[in-house]
Amino acid sequence: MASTSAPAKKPASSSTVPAIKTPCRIHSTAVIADKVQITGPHAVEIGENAVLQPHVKLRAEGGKIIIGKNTTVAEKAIIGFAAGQGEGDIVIGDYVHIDAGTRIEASRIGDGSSIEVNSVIGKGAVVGKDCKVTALNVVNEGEELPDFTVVFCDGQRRIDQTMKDHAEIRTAKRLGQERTVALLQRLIPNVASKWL
Amino acid sequence: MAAPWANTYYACPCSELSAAAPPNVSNGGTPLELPGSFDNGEEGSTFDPHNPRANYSLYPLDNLLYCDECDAIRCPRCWIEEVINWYCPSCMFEVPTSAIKSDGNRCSRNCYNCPLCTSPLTISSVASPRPVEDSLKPSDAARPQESYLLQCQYCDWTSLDVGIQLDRPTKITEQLVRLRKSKDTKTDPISVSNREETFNNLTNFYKEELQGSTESQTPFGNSPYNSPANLARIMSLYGGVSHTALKKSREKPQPMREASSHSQGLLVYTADKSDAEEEILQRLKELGWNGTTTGEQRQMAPVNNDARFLGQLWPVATALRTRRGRRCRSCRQFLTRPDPKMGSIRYKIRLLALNFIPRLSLKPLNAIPPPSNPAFRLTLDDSPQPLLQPFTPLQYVLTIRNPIFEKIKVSLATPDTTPGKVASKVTILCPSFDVGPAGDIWDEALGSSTTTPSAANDGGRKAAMASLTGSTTDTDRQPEAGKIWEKTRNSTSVILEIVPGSLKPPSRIVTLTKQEREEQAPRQDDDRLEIAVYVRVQWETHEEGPEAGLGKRDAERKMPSGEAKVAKELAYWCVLDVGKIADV
Ligand SMILES: [Zn+2]
Ligand SMILES: [Zn+2]
Ligand SMILES: [Zn+2]
Ligand SMILES: [Zn+2]
Repeated sequence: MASTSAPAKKPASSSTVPAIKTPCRIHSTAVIADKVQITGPHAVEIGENAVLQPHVKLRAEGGKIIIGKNTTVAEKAIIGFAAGQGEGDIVIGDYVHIDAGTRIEASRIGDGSSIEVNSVIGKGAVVGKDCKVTALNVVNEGEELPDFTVVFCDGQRRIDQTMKDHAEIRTAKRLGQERTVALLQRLIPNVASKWL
Repeated sequence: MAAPWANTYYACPCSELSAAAPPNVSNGGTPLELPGSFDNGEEGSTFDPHNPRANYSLYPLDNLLYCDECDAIRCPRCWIEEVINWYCPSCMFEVPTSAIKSDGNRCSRNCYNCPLCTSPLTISSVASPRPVEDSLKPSDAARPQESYLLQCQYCDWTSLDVGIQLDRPTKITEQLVRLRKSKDTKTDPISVSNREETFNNLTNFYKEELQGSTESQTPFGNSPYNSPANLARIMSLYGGVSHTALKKSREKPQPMREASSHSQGLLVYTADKSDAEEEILQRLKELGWNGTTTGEQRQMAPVNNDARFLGQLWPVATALRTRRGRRCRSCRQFLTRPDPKMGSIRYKIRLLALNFIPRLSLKPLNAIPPPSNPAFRLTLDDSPQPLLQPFTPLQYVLTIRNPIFEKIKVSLATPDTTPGKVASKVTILCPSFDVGPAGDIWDEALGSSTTTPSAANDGGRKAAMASLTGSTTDTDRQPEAGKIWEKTRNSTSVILEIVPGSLKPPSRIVTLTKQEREEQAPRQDDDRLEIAVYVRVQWETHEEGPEAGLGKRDAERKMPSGEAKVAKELAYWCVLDVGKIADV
């Protein structure tokens, strides 16, 4: 809680590691809300029009974190490992929607995927393009989800044939994500400058 | 280690087991001398909470209703449920019962559910692809400007998975029926396209056959009885044998022709379907187990009963729900009835037992108050309930709270020792007392919460100190026989003394036979100390109308003098679950 009001010089009061400022590369159109925490010694890259909502934690403790274009990360999502918990870069593609309360330790999340509320993507997992992990589901450590996979109910998996076969639906989904981004950009005060 | 409040269960008197009253309960309620053995159905037997059948008549008070016509508790066994109306949970549209009979129990408007995961489908529009893409896909050239599809917001299933694309966002049912027909003809042109036609042929054929056989046999040529319908009506009036059964018994069975050709509706099974089956096997190999439907998915709608693969699942029309009322089984009046307005969750009639019968609650006399209000506790308190030590006397406060607006007279009775294997001694120090009437909810909240006769009324300072420090001023007070412990406006507390029995059978010199040992072996829940209390409540009430008192049960009789006051009485068994006895 203390870190929320802390100035930019002390991003997170991690007790073990002395507060090193994380090297960040943030695109000028990206929106980073106040109360976002970015920690760790590794590089963090945030792409065009990406939106990080309040209380998002990016932990670049075990490797780089790259967030693609038009990707949104909702409240209380945690991306990365806690210090000493794992290693490896995390690459999140374009047009990805990461919902509130998710924990992402995957090594890659493909373009256009959405990870819904409170779901967990295990260490080293690879989520393909246009996948959907519905609320409260878990993608296991090291698991690879092929493109267009939907994880739903109690861990059932299926391939979304509609998405696979119809480019216009994929386009519509991208368009929806762009609109979400536009709305969030208007709603969320941007404090990206404090991380530069 | 706060001793929790004991759970209380109420026995509905509708079953034989719980209807029996102890024989001498009316004489003021001294603890009863009753035989230890429980004989089911015997007059005057006590209620044994350990009887296996007791589970079927014990309910928490909140689960019971009360019939104010019969003046009786009503449980799920003595009320009947009645469907008040049918509605679609998705569009909240009420469907008249006549429509249910003709159209079935599914929403016939635009409500559909996902065949994979059952969540509701939404109608979304797909913008028609741009001309560039059109040229790449010549098959789609004839597509209309905008098309619609049904989409599951949860698992992303869309109707495109089974090739359904709709032209309009309205009249979904009609469009789907049309699409289904054309699909059926496409997939199985020989048999399925004319399945309905074949069925019609078949029914027509047999109808004609039946017609023919009955017409020739009509026995009364010109009488008013020549119409079979008339005859059937008359036969049913005079009871017993139906028209057709009578006819059958009177006539020799007439040989009837069987359908023998396609025009008569006969469809011969042809074995040359090996190709189709081969194809199914092939697809099964390709798609694997995950590509097949589950039993649940198939059973969700008749349209999917034959679906073998996920790709064959059709959108499921939303099943309608019902709203039910409950009626008393004996007088048929409504005990609960939902508000007829659709979408309202209120009840128009709701006769809850907790508004009519006194609530009993039991707590240890010297209970340590729980560290926090249990309603605000975030995690489940895992600390185990302390066990009751055998042969250690315990004192409990039994509080009876009156929900009705009349003063009630309560008599309690309980067997001296609890029936069953473990005999615990129970004594109610004051078995007969009055409880004041319930008042406005605000009176209760604003009035002092407890008024013990010794402490709270004798001046503000002492009581205020007591409430501030949280300690009771009268810790040295001793329970006395025949005295009420505590009294508030609408509740009265008395002391209950319990001496838990031992789980071990008394030691004997004679060795037991095997059968005897088996009988004495403790069964499940034998170590629970449960006290059955027979509660008898008497009160007087003003009769609402002059005829209301007539023809009523013998429990109430007109008072001879003055205004029409009616004495009422209610008696029921109540089981207090005190806790587990330690096995030492
Ligand atoms: Zn009952
Ligand atoms: Zn509906
Ligand atoms: Zn679904
Ligand atoms: Zn009744």
